[in-house]
Amino acid sequence: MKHSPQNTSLTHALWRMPVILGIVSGAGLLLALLAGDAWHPVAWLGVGAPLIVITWCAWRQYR
Amino acid sequence: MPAPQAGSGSLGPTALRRWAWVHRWSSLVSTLFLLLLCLTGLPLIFSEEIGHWLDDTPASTAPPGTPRASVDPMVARSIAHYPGQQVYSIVVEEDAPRVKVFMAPSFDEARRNPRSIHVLHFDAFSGELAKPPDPTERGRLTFMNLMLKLHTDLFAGLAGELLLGFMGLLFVIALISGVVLYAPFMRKLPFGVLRTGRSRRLIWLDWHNLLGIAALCWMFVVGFTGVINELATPMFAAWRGNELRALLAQDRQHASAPSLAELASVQKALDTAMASQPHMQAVSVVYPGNPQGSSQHYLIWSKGSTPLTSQLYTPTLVEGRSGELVGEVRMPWYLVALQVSRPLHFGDYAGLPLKILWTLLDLVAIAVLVSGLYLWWVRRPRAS
Repeated sequence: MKHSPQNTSLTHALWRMPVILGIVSGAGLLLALLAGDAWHPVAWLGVGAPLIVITWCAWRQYR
Repeated sequence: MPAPQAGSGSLGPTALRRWAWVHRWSSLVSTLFLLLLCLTGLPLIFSEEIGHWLDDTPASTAPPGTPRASVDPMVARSIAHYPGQQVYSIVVEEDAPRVKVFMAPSFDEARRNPRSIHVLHFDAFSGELAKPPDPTERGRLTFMNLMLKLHTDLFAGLAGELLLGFMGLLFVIALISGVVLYAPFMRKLPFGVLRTGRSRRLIWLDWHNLLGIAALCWMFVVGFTGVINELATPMFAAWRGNELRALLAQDRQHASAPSLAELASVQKALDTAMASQPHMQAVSVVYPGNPQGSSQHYLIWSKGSTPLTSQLYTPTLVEGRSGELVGEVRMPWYLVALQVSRPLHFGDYAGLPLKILWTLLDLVAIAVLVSGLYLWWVRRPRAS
């Protein structure tokens, strides 16, 4: 990944990703526990968000 | 585990060094244990599916809507099969329509040697033995039992549980210190950067950071709930020794347990308990005299029907000799915490897709551990 002034704001936004991922992932774990079966697909998406992000980061930089 | 290199941000160099030391050593001390836990945890995620797959008990042929048979004849047949032995407990299985009657030579023998406890499987609808009792089944170490023992106590009982609980605590400390170090590391780098084309160590470091921070929430939840689960034995001992004993102080708690002939019908005890909790479902019955319960009472565990209450088990006491209801026992906060922590550790509360996600995140955790070990190995101090 190259650093340039153009992607500074994107860099800043992405740096917040750990917080966003933590909230999404935690919400998924709790949703699966507290909500009924109908909400499970949403919960799976939340719990699986870290895997999506990891795959995306790897694909972007290894392609 | 790696030493910090990037800008230190708000942390001074001394604080950064201290956090790096905490991260390095909390990780190093616990890594091998955590690798064992992650590897043995993989098959345990699918223990229900593997259990059904390996189960050679014929499926019930009862048509839908068939009422469940009384438990009393099942207990009578169990005693007839093993005369002179003690009924230890009964488990009512929900997914497979089956009732398991656990027997032991005596409660004392069961306490000394848990492998002396053995089980008879009954069809919940017909009340017939689902498969003939197998004396060789007693204490047989199956693959899943091996995984479970390695995962929970390393065949060392309470000492093993406490050791693994401590390792889980070190894992949580490693995660927290890792987050503290992540901030100064990544301040000037984009999220998720993988500096390909640079040194091998740098790529491993980037993968370690990316996997660790992405799966942080899951690893923290599973690690922390694992610590709570390892404390289950002392928690239940404290509950039985304090709350339950105080509740039963006036009920001849120290008198000798009633013999099987003196006991009221267990089906009647179940019906009485369930009548007091119409929205609950009975899960198991702990017999009077069992060290896991009361000396004078049936201890009947039941659970609710909502997503959350189906994870929370409530004990109800029924007098062993008379079959009269004593009442529901209020669970202390630490046992409620233990019960909530179980599904969050096992990942078995939202279907097969969640179990698959649990498996993938477990593999991510293994990758974080291995990459951390590699980073320490290539940067370890060497003799000149």
